[in-house]
Amino acid sequence: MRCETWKKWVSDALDGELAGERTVRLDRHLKDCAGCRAYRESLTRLQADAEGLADPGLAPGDWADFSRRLESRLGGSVPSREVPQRAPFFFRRKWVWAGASFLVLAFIGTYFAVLRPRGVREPMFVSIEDSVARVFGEIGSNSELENAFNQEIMASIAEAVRPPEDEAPVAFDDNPLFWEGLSDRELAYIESALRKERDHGGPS
Amino acid sequence: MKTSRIVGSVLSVVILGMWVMAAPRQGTPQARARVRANISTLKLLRMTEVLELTEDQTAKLFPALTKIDKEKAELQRRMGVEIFDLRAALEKEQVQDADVLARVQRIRDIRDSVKRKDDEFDAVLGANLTPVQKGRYLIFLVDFARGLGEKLNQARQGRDKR
Amino acid sequence: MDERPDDVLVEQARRGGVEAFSELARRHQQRIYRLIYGMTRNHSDTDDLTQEVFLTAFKSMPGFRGTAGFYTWIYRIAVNLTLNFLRKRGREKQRAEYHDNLLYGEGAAAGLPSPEGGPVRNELRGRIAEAVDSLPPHFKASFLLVADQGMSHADAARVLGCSENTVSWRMHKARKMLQARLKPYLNEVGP
Repeated sequence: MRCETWKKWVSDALDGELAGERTVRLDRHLKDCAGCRAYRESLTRLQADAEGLADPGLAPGDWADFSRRLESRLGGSVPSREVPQRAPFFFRRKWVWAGASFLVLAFIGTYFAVLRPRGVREPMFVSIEDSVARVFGEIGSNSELENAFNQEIMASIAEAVRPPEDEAPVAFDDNPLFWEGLSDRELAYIESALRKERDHGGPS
Repeated sequence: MKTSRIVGSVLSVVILGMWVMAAPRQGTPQARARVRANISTLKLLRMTEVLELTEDQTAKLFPALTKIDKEKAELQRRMGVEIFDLRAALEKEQVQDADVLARVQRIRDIRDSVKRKDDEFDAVLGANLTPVQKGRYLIFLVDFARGLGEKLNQARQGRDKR
Repeated sequence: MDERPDDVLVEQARRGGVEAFSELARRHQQRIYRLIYGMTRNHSDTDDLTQEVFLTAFKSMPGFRGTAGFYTWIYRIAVNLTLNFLRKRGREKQRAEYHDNLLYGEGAAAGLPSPEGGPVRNELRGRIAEAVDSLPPHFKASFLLVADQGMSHADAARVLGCSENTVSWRMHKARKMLQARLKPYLNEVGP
């Protein structure tokens, strides 16, 4: 198993999320692997030093003031709809609910025992293509939702491609085909991005 | 050069291009094709990570898989256009049966071609992955499919809050 | 001290009880504030957003079914509102304000380490804060919920509306990014 997987197990163990047998295997691996051991030590230290970082440091008086302000705003707010104090007769009687539940269960049982068409097997799992089709089916012609979904995908791509800080940045111009493949619009975009970066103290 | 750098170099080219064209005209077949392309890119990226591909595997798989994905994207773009045209044809006052049948057949043929591309994709992977990687790939497909649904929910929530 | 259990307060709040909801808010406001502050690193924005979380929750109380706990539900509102806020504001503006706060003193009240920690340790804490702040929003949310608020992956997944596996991977990647970025400072501080 590669160190990348062991490192993920170190992360899970730190959160108390590593199942019993894996903890034993991880401990065994850490005895032999100095790299993973060092990684666990640095994560443990990071966790300890990060404690309290999100503490806003407000005094008790600040919290009291916050509560007062919220209460005065709540007083002017109305919940979206009134909940009736007492349900109508029909819904109060437990025997009515019991009878209705029995009828529903009886119908379901009859359906599966007698009426359901046989010989149709559900697929074991759904293909990506089917999932994509289902997503697009739900989006329909809602172009705003389509764009928002696209933004989510692009954000995931950016997250996945983000290089770890300890590696040198990727040199685009190592690939001789890179510049040839770009359109005028893409070149103009790169030029403006580089200009912005220089203006903010980036490389010249 | 590490695998992640090769992947980073190749895909950064694709991604940079995509960021530039990140806002296609909404509601068009081109916009839909763009979203599909982004999904394919994300799938490749995640797949690389999950399968822990070696440099050799990446070098063999990526050109073939990217080519198949590109061909599939072109087929799907054509399918989008054909469906668009079919809708227009059905809305005409006088619908020509022969014309509609011909369009339906073309869409069916393209759909079969898309399925064959999927099979080709799986075959390339099958020929180059270890048994453990094949197992991981199946699990990856399930997780990725579910992830798409999660992203759609996140997109809905983000839109509703605005 | 009010000893009514949460579920009683929730039921009363569902029927429009402002006082019951205020009590619920009092019980949860510090944790929600802390989470949002961890994401925004700005007291003014955090104050506004936290108020908005509770106002939104109060208006939606009649529709709260209780299938997830109140705690999970309110966290979910907080995360969604904050992520949308950050998306609109853009990270650049957020970073600039964080640095301003650091220079002009709000940082001193903002949970950064006291001088007793020593100069090297204080710098490390500042670097950690900066590094966490630079995480992508969904990663930062996962990291704060799990590492800072002590949630399990399952609870964080319910709040974030994703799978446990997704939370687990985000934690792993967030830690990798933080560790890579902070390696020189971690080595400097020593064991």
